[in-house]
Amino acid sequence: MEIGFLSKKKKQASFEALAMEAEGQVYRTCFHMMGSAEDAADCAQETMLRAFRAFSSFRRDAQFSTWIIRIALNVCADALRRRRPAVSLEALREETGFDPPDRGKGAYALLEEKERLRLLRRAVALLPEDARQLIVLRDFQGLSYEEIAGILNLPLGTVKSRVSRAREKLSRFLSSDAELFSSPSV
Amino acid sequence: MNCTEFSSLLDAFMEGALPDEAAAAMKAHAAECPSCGMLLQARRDCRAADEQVEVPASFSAAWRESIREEKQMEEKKSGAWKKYLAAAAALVFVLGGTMLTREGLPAARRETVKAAPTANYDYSAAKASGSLSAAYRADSAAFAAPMEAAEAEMDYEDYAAEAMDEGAAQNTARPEKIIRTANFTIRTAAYDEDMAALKNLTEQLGGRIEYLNSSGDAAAGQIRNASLTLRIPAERLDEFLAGARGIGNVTAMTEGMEDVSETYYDTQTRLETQKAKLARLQELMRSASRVSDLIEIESAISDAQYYIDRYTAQLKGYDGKIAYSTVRVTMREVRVVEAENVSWGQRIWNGLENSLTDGWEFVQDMVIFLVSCLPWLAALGAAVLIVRAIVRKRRKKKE
Repeated sequence: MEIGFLSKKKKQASFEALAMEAEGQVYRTCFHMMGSAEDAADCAQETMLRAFRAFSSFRRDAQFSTWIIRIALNVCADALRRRRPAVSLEALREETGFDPPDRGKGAYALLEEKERLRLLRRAVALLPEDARQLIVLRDFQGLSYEEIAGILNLPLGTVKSRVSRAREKLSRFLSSDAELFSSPSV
Repeated sequence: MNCTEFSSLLDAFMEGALPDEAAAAMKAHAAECPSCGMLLQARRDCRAADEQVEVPASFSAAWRESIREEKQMEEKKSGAWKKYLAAAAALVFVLGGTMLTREGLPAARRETVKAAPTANYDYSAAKASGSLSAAYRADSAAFAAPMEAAEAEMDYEDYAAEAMDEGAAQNTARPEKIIRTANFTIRTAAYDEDMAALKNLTEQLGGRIEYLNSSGDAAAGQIRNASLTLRIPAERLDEFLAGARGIGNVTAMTEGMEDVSETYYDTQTRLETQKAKLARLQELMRSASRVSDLIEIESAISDAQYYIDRYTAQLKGYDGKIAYSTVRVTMREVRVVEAENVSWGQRIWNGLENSLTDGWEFVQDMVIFLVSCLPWLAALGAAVLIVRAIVRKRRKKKE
């Protein structure tokens, strides 16, 4: 049933009920995309507002979380475009000549968790926007490839290959970091 | 296990979907291979990072508040839109209703004659100025105005003489039976005077007014019209028509004649025949002895009497029409318009005055329309209130 047939009051109640279940996922998505709590709150708030305005067009036979996460990614993309673009390590190398030594991929796992997470977030921030979206949805939030294909409106095969490439980039960024490497704690 | 295999099984390993043996192989490879170990650790850290993100407590309240504000703004916009629509609908209703009902308002207010007819109009002055086609005099002595040859397309006297000459060759013993008629239209700016002149002319020549129908209310400033049927002695018809040309402005005149001689004499002959027949039947009646004969003769006498009466009436009708010509007159009142040059300033003022007058009249019409609609509006308003109350009750019950 189209939401448009509901009265305004019922529409608001219906939206709030669905949005409550998805608010955590929305916030976390925005947090991983933007990299800071403040930006995440702004983007998450904007996501809820945009979703409410567009709620009339939401079809009940689709999944609400898929629909609202797509809105969240669009909001974050708009915010990132307004922000000064992050400098990638490659660009940093070219501009400043900075070339941190590659101390080996094993060093990452030897770090403390706190440091690892900090490195991880910094590496994710250096990823291009589309790769970042895939890493956030697949590796951070654990969504299935099918769910990611629905959110990004891409074929399943394309999603899988792009996730793989995004992971390679991420691991290159992590292993290129100047500070810490360790063996994996398995 | 090599790195490619490790990478391909990593998703399943993270989801716990691998058998124990394969999972152990994955762990062993990760311990030996720094690159794959980093991959595994990074994947684990990603999940941990997601779990560690704390959703601020204020976030939930904040987005709800923004939703409520958004809803209030939407309601204000739609409310304003509804108000504008309602105002537009009311305006269309009032203006449209006023325009439609204007035609039904009292005619006296709308049919004001702007130029009142002038009394005692001096035709001589008008004729001198060339504004009228004929001069008018109120005294009856001037009725016999000379008929100008240029105005008449047919001279009746010459025509009558010609017809008589033609008929003389055919029947010298019987005079011709001619029925003459005439029709003409008079346009006049002095309606009362010209009507009186026409009546006087008719009486003076021995005629009579057989029919008169007039319309228009002079007191209300309305244009007057009249239709008359006059009976004028045939021998004085020409005199009458000549006199009528001097009344008002004769805009159209037609004359006609019908030769009914043959019909007349034929009817006369039949009458005489029936009279003779009657006389003979009366003789037979006196000498009849049998009842059946008497009945038959009586019936024949009734028939003969019937035809005698009929032919007599026909002849009488012809005689009447022949002796008195029928003249039909249409008289129409006109307004005398004196053209004058109007200055540009005066035109502006006139335009403004007309607009204000029309506007004021429109406002009055609108008030009348609204007052007349009050009972219907009251009934409609009551119905709307009742429906709204019922709908609200039902909504409350459902909630």
